[in-house]
Amino acid sequence: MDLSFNEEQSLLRDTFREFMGKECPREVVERAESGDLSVTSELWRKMASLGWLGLGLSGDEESTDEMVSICILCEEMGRVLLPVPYVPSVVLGGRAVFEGLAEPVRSRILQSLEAGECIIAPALMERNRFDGLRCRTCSASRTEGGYTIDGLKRFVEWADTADYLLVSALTAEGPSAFLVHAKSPGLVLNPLDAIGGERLFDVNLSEVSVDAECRLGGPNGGKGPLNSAIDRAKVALSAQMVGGASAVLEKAVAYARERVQFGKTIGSFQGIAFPLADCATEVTGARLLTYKAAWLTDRGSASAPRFAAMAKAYASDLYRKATDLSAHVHGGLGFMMECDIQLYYRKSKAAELAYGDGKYNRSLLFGPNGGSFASPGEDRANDLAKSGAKV
Amino acid sequence: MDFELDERQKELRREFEEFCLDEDNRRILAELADEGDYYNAHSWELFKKMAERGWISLNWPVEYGGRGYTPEEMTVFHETMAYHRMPIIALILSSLVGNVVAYFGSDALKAEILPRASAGELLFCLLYTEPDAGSDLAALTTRAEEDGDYYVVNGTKIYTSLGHLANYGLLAARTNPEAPKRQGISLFLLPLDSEGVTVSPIYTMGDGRVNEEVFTDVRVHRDYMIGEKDSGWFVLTMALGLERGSIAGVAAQGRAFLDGLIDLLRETGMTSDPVVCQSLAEMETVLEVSDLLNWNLTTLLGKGDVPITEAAMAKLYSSESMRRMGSEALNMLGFAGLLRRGSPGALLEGLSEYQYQMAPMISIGAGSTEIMQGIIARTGLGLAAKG
Ligand SMILES: Cc1cc2nc3c(=O)[nH]c(=O)nc-3n(C[C@H](O)[C@H](O)[C@H](O)COP(=O)(O)OP(=O)(O)OC[C@H]3O[C@@H](n4cnc5c(N)ncnc54)[C@H](O)[C@@H]3O)c2cc1C
Repeated sequence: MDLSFNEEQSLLRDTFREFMGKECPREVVERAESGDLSVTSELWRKMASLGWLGLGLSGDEESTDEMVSICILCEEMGRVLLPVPYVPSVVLGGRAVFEGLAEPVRSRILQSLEAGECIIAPALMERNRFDGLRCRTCSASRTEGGYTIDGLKRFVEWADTADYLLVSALTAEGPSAFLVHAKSPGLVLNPLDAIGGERLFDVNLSEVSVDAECRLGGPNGGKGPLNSAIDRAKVALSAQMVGGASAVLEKAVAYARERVQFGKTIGSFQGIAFPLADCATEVTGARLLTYKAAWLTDRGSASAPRFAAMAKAYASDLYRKATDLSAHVHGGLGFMMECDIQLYYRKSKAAELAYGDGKYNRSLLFGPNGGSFASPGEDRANDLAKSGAKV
Repeated sequence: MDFELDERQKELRREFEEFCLDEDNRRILAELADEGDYYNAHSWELFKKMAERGWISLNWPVEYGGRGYTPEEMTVFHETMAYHRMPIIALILSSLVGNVVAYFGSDALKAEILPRASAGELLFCLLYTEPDAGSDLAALTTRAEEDGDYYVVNGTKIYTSLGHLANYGLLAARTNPEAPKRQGISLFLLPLDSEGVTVSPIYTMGDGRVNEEVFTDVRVHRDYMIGEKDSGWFVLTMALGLERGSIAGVAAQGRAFLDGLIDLLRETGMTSDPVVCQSLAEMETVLEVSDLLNWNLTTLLGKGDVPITEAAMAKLYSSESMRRMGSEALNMLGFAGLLRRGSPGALLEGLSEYQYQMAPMISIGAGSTEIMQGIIARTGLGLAAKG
């Protein structure tokens, strides 16, 4: 048991942090938000050339701590709100391809992902909120050489920038997902305008045809690889939120140490100091929980999906609390566009909702039918038997 | 990063677990539980068995009969004991007082205390709190006046855990009333059978008791002083840190409680209620975080750091989560949750009401929630008054 980063991991963190500090000042975030795609392309190109876009997709059994490394990267991205589609495209899209598609398509796509030449936009939602693999309108029917997909996918981020959409759809064998060319005939994008400047689109698919080899998990599959990719995205996004929460906490603490009222720094008032102390404790907790989820994922533990849900639930709630607290500690300034906090406050909500908010993910732990996973007792017992880990 | 126990720790865990699950030991535990006062539950028989295994002195220095256990190994020990509801306060106090004596005690005191303590023949208590000195411990007024080779102690201590069973108490008393308040305090290991000591009960919720000790001209030889005269605050700060570290491990009691609760709710079909499910999921998550914060502290202790902030975080978070859980569980269980052990219809052998009744203590003892928040704010975040 050692809950701190090893030397290599600390080094990795320093490298990522240095990159973010240099490449992503506030102005870059604002330019991206105003619709300037060139900042994203530029960042994406640099990340590709550093080899960061291939993390988790190497298939190298030896590199056991890939998900942990992804989280280290995501935490640093989250601190500066780096405007790139890393989690949806690489962590979710890339992993779905990695686990779900067969050669030669698989290698071709993974190579271009790693080279930064391709972006995948997951299109999973049909209603206002994330609902796992459930498809209500979108369906895929078998044709001669493949499938045709019809339906409406909602709130697809980066859809206009993507080369492929990863579309979940109901098939004769249950829910599955398909890698669909973004330029396919019959695919229409409707841009939406959200508070965090997210590039969100509704995507209408009408008789969009895809080749048979673009179905995840082969002719009868899809669920497994998609679920596994979503779980990874939850963990990576949790790390991103932990990074964001650390950043807003640090900004609040710095302000509380400087701002003077009633002849004292406001940080000396318990009404300010104690909520910040609670927040610091929960940020530490969320970070540890996220890395534990990542560590279990890297080891293929049976409890990894439960931990992914737990981490996402906890980090989502925490990020909301932290941005809200930080705005509050800044007083009136916290409401002003000149203050950095507004960026985090506006953008945190989409992160909270992505792949399900706290309530949704908690409902996976214990649900009306016993939850989506084995009972925690069984799970722990299994893990215990397997690894001797703590109960 | 590594979230798994290593081979030796796993082996130890199995050894500790085996003891806890031993039939004869379960019988002793059940008898103790029937006596009602779980908080003060103590069995010399169990204690001696643990002593035979060297468990009273696990983390004392080796030259004093300890086994030099690492912080990681101690956490495994405390967690396993707490999970299986072994009486744990006496263990925590022995590990703490043993270390304090080994590092700061006189040779005479070491010889008197350590062999008997590690043999499981002695119990200790902490004599810190006074009617007018709680969180502000440095305001204590119990006096110890020098008189030749002796000190003469006068004053009153309250809320002492195990005070009625203990042989010795780690006493904080003022030896120099002229000095600034943190610089005039000394520590003694006071034999509680000394003349002039009266111990009386203060009853608590959860059928427990703590104690009040009144000292009237109690004479204690200077060999019983711990560390230098007037330098008690330093030792005290260290001892409080040690105590907080082990308290967080006690959160494993919460884990055991939640496991029992989940099983019970499943059996009774209550887990079809989405509101119950949300609560359970929240408790599960919060306990996991609490456990991780405790291991985070343990990791840093193991590296030889002095993690003041992380200790406060672990204590703050685990006690606040246990506090919430006690009440939440009763909302799920309804009236049946209020039934005491032994009552018809009691659930979880009465643990549900116990968890609820103990909640107000958890966020106060060993440094209250607000004191922890203050430590994190000042030490961790640098939010001291300025300007
Ligand atoms: C079951 C139990 C067992 C105990 N066992 C022992 C023992 O074995 N030995 C021993 O010496 N003591 C023991 N104690 C005493 C315990 O350490 C004290 O109760 C504790 O330190 C708080 O002191 P107090 O009760 O005087 O409360 P106070 O210090 O008066 O606190 C009252 C309230 O004010 C808050 N407060 C105090 N100062 C501040 C501040 N600066 N900022 C914000 N809020 C503040 C506190 O958090 C609390 O909520 C025990 C207590 C309990 C309940």
